Amino acid sequence: MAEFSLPKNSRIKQGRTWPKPEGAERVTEFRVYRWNPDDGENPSVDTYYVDREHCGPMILDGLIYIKNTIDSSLTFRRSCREGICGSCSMNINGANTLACTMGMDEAGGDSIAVYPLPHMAVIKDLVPDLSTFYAQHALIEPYLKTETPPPEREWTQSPEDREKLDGLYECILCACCTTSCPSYWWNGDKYLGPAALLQAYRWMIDSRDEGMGERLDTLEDPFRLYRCHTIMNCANVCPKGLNPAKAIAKIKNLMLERRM
Amino acid sequence: MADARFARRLPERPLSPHLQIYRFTWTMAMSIAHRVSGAAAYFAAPLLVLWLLAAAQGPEAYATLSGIYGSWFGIIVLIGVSWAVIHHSIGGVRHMVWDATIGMDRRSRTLWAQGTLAGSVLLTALVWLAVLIWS
Amino acid sequence: MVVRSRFAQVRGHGSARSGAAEHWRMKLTSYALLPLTLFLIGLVVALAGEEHPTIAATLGQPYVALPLFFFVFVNAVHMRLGMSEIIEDYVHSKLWKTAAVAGNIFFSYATAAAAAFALLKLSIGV
Repeated sequence: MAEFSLPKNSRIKQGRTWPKPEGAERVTEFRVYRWNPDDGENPSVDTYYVDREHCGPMILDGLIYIKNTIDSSLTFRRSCREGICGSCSMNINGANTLACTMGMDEAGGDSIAVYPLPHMAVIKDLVPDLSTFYAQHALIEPYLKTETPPPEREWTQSPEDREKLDGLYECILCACCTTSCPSYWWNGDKYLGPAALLQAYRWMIDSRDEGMGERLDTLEDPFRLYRCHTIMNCANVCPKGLNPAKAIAKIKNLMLERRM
Repeated sequence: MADARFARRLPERPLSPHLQIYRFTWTMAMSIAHRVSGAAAYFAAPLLVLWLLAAAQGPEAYATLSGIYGSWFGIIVLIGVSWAVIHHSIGGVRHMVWDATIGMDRRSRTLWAQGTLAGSVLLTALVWLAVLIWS
Repeated sequence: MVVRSRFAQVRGHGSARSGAAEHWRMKLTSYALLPLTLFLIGLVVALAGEEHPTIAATLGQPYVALPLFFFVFVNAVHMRLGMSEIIEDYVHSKLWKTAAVAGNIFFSYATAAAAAFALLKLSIGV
């Protein structure tokens, strides 16, 4: 059976509450998931208070504030702080998003809950193991596949054909969508997940690509593609406003088209 | 992978929380409702079969069955089953629309999910009102 | 101990090259079931509270029995496909999966066969 509860080693214990910064007038409470591979303990949720007068407005600013001034052992991924690198994806107040583009005020309330991306193996604190996610991306062969000998200069594409890639090419592989999907939670070993499937569709409809048939063959599988039940969590969370559910529906329609 | 972890004497990695912390959305809730109502209708199929069999058997068998179906417990079960069937049917329409890649933007998909619940409750009430008036 | 690369795990046994047919059958049966379910609900509402002779006579009419026949068989296919989705989602152990798949096929078609038998008896009147 698919396991709906957490395994024994993953159950969350009561964590520690860190003191409020001295003299802070306006604080926001951060409840952050912690797990340290070195101490052999179960994960816990620590409580921190962020001094809003000395901190930027975004959740990522809050996490950096905690790491700089309260607890330097807090571990998370981050890089560009402007929503293009896809590193700081995590679960904030129950929904996956990028910590750098989500404001503390936007998250609502005086308390913000921060967890790693759901149903993933945790390497440390807010850092999940994304290697399966990347392998799934590799499986859909995210590059131009052609048989025609390469042209002297570049492969050309009309503006209309280029437009078809809008809403697909913008994916930053942050894994917010894939790890929000209950189907991926229960069958993440075989189901490719919304991010990989959105990219698969992006290459299928690229006018320069010649591998549509093989791409469809790779995906036509009860698990790889058809675990998608249009739950729409993917579209609800995508920080770039893309719609993987729609791309997957279009792949399913391509599958039907080629057999009629 | 696992033995590399043992060699470094590290504990197995924990699984991050999922259902435990995930905030429900309308589309997610209605997807679960579609599955639950479908399964409920699946296991309620023998109720229809029994009704047909009793009718085929004769007056006595049918009277016994009507007695059970018409009891307060029977009525509650039948209301539940009718709601499941109607909810699943409207959910089916929603999926047909989404399969045609229509109504998938943020606003529409939530409206469709909310409409599924509202429509199923309303239609179930109408059906039972009709039963009340008819019989 | 088995150590495999992530890419090998993700590739697994390769693509089954199936699923589109099931998806199409699921769509087709749901389209067909929509009017048939409406008919069934209308029929049950109309017959609620009636006595046996009326019920038996109505169910034996060709214009009632035929849509019901159609409903029963389309519904059986839809039930089997829907439940197998649930099984594939949640049941992962090989033994339980085999049992669930077999049980599902039996349950779906046995209910349909019983309903068809009742409808035949009502129509032809043995």
